[in-house]
Amino acid sequence: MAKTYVRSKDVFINCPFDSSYQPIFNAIVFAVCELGFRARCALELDDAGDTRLDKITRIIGECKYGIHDISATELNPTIHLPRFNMPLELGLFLGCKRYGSPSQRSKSLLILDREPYRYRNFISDVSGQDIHAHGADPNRAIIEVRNWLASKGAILPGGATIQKRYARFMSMLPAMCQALALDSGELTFTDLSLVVNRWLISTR
Amino acid sequence: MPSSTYHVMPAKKGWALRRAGATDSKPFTTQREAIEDARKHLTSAPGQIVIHNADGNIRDVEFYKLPKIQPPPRISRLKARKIDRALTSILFDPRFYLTN
Repeated sequence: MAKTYVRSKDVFINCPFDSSYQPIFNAIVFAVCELGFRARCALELDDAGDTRLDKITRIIGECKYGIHDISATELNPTIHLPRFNMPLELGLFLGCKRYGSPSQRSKSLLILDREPYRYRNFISDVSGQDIHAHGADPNRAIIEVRNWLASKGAILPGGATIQKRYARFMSMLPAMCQALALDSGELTFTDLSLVVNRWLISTR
Repeated sequence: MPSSTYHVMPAKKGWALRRAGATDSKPFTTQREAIEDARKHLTSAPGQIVIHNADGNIRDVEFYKLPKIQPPPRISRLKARKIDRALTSILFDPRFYLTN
C-alpha cells in the first residue's frame, strides 16, 4: 500500500452539506483559510472512478487536522433515522490516528456540536476528545476553530478579528458574484475555497 | 493590532501604492520604490503586500506577521485571475471596510 503523505496545513472538515448548515460551513472554511491552513472535505472531488468512501479515506489520510461537526446527528422527521455520516467519518479519522503510521498518529481533531454535553446521549465514547459547542452560530464556530488551531502553538489573529473579516467577506461576496456573473448559491466548495483564497490575499 | 493590505499596482505614469479600503494612492516611478515604501508601513504592524504585474494580475504576495494563505486543494472552474479582476473592481470601495 502506498504511503500517504500527511500535509501539515490540511484540515479535513466533516460536516453536513445541506443548506441549513451552509452558514456555519462557510464560516469554518473562511476561518481555516484565514488562519493559514487549507480546508479539505468530501465535496472537493468529483472523480467517478472513486467510491465516496475511497475519496473520504484518502482526504482523511492526507490531513493532519480534522474538524468534525456532529450537530446534525438527529432523527429525520420523515424516515425516523439519524444521519450517521459525520460520526462514521469521525470514527475513520480516529482510527487513522490510532492505528496509522507515526505521521498519522500526530493527527489532531476538534469535535463540534450544537450544545455542550449533548454528545453524551448518542456518542459518549468520544468523551475525552476536544469537544466544543457552537450553538448553531457561525461566529461562535469561528472562535472555536481559531482557539483550537491557536492551541497548536501558532501565533494567530484573534477570533474577533476573524469574525470582522468574515463579516466583510460576506458583505462583499454578492458584489463579487455579480462581477463573476454567478449566483452565490452556485458556488461549489472548490469555487468558495478559491474565492476565499483570492479575497484573503487581496484584502486582509 | 489591525492588519493592512497594500497593493503595488500599475498606474498611468509608473506605479502606485494603495492600501485596500483607501480612496487615494501614492505614486512611484518604479515598482521597486513602491514595494520598499510598502515594507516600511509593515515594520511593526501585521499586513501583506500584493505585488501586481504591469497587466494588473497578481504576481506575488508578501506576508508580515500574518499566516501565509494556502492555495486551495483543487482547481476550480473559476480562474484566479477572473476572481482577482472581479475583486479589483470592488476592492477599494470604502463601504466594505469596517474599522478593525
